[in-house]
Amino acid sequence: MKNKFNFLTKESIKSKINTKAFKIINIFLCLLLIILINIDGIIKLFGGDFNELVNIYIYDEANVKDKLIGVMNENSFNLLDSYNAKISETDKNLEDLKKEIVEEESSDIIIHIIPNEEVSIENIFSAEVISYEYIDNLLLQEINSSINQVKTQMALDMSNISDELLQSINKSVNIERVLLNEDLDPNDELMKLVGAIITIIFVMPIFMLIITIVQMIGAEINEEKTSKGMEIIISSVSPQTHFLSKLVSSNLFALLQTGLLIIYGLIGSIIRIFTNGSMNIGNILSGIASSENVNISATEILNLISQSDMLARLKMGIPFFIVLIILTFIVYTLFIGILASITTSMEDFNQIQTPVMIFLMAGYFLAIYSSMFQGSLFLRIMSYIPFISGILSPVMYALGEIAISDLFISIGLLIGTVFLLYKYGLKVYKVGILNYSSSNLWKKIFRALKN
Amino acid sequence: MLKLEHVTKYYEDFRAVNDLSFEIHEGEIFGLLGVNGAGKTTTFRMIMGLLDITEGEITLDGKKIDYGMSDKIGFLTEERSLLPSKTVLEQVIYYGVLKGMKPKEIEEKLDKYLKEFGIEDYKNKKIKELSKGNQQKIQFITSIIHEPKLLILDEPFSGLDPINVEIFKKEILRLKKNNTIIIFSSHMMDHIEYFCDSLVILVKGEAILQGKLTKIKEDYKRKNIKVIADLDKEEIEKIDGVVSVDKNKEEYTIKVHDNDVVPLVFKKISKCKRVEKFVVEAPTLNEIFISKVGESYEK
Repeated sequence: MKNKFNFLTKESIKSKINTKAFKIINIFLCLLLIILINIDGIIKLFGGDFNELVNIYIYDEANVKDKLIGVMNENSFNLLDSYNAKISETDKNLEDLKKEIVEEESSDIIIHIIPNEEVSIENIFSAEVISYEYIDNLLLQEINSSINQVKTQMALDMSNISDELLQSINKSVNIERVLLNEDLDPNDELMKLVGAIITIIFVMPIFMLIITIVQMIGAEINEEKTSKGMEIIISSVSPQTHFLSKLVSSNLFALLQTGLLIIYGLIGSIIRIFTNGSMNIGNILSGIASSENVNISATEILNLISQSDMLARLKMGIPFFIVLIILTFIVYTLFIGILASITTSMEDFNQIQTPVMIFLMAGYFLAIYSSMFQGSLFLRIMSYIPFISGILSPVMYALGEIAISDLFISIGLLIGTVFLLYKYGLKVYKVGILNYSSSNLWKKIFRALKN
Repeated sequence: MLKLEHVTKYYEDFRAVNDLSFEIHEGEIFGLLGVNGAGKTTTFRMIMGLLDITEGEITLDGKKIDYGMSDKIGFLTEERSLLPSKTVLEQVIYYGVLKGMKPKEIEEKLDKYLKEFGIEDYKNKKIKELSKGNQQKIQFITSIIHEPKLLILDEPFSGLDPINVEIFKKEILRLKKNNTIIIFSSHMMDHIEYFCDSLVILVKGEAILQGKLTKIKEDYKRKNIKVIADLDKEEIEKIDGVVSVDKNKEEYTIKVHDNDVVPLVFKKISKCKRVEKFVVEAPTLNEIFISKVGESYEK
């Protein structure tokens, strides 16, 4: 019987891998991951206006050029670099340069500093920012801010404020965050910003994998049943062996798919290192953050994670996460396997997927809300619920919303659910796989349980 | 020997099979007959150990049938039970391994059977690409490839042309000769008559008729008289004990209640100017089936 179990498991995995759908989806996933990891490089490769060197010429009639260059190089170096912009020199006069920009329709920018006739602290100089096309809002803001900063410096100079005093004035206020609750870490406040990013990175792959498993195990049992092959299979191996083989093969398949996703990620990273010279994932992280309406740079994200105790918590939580995720996969495969055994057609199977999708969507959205509604008792209780806990509780734990003891409760409840689903589900499965009646699905389940 | 002793099966309050008992010996083909919903599938499933029996016992060679014995049983289902996405080779290996065989041994035997059935070119074709008849051949091969001790054949000739029916018949008789216990179920009564030594007819889960085929026919008193003569149909119908007179082309079939009516009919026929044929025949199984099942439904 053990050989038959191994054979069924092997055949089940083989049948999943040997499908055109699996190959096409994996080629697509591989390309998608490589593209996502290298998206900035790919965009640059195809070229565009952003590739053009943007010369910033400073026409200074107020003798502030050096100060302005200094401020811009100090504050805006990275930004200028990302816009492929640099401060350039030219021999041409202003009018000739304007004419040239118009003729060439170039993206070059002229900063024209015009002295005021009557100089006062409020009114030291005026400025024109000249270009042929619109300038990106962020770059324009940066230029404006640098010009204003130069004006502030000059105003301070005019007020006879010494450099030391100026530095003292400019020095930020030392603001200390005091929390009266000694159990809290001030850094955790910042982690709210990071929560959204973690949710996307952690929850999405699990969500996708569970959907894949649910589809595969259900479709396989449904195919065996509707083709009546089940009758022959069950006359050779016990329903228990058959059920277990489906369970093991689906979860092994999930592991295989996870492994493949990691490999695709590594391939994407290697390509990035070869093409960029370094991993430099700053742009990608910033991209995710901005898509979540979080105004934060990549460096800040990485700093936040390292400054907070999130890393330590993650290290401690990972073994629990793995157990939670594996148990969640098992719960879902058991549940869908039992339901699929009752179906007699693809229409029935589509119908039974609804509760699974509801659980998954609930877990997904609650995980997203967990970073918004911190300290929510409702979310804490939901993080214990099997089917949801595998998605929700790791995110909540990483955000410091729940403790290890809560993870223990989630795991305990999941183990209990696996036990109950297996014990009673097997009864339903045994009857269900040979039941071709067209009566209501739930009626059939209750009848099987009664028998 | 397969033995069913007072087997009863209930689905909740519904009684699917009631007090069914029979024995089938090695090298015997047993007919299990009944209209749809009579309890045949439930009986097959109980014999294979797929369903728990409510009462009674089923044994093969004195041992209760369980999954330890599944390798000794072959089953050909009434409907196609093949996995359409597999190739013929993959399919036969799949079911063969589940019957305890090694893939290499399965492939060797498959080649032999494919040749015998004239479909050796289909070895690597997908099941879904095969015709209904060829799918039936593959299904038949999967049910016998492990040389089962007990073989259950449910409508084995479904979708087959007459040439292939003959090949199947030959193979079934070979298995019988090799001492296989065969349960044969079909709605084609001529096939049952051809193969079966004994049978049981189920109606609503109850055995309404069972025993040796020859004995069943003997006990069934009605007779058919086949006549080719210039007879007066109305005159014959008037004879007491004549059930019906039907004409098909030249030949009349006169059904009579029992043997005692035959001399009366003969006396009338002998007066006809032309008599070419007068043969008294036992009724066909089809007639017995219709008559017995009809009676049971009327009750």
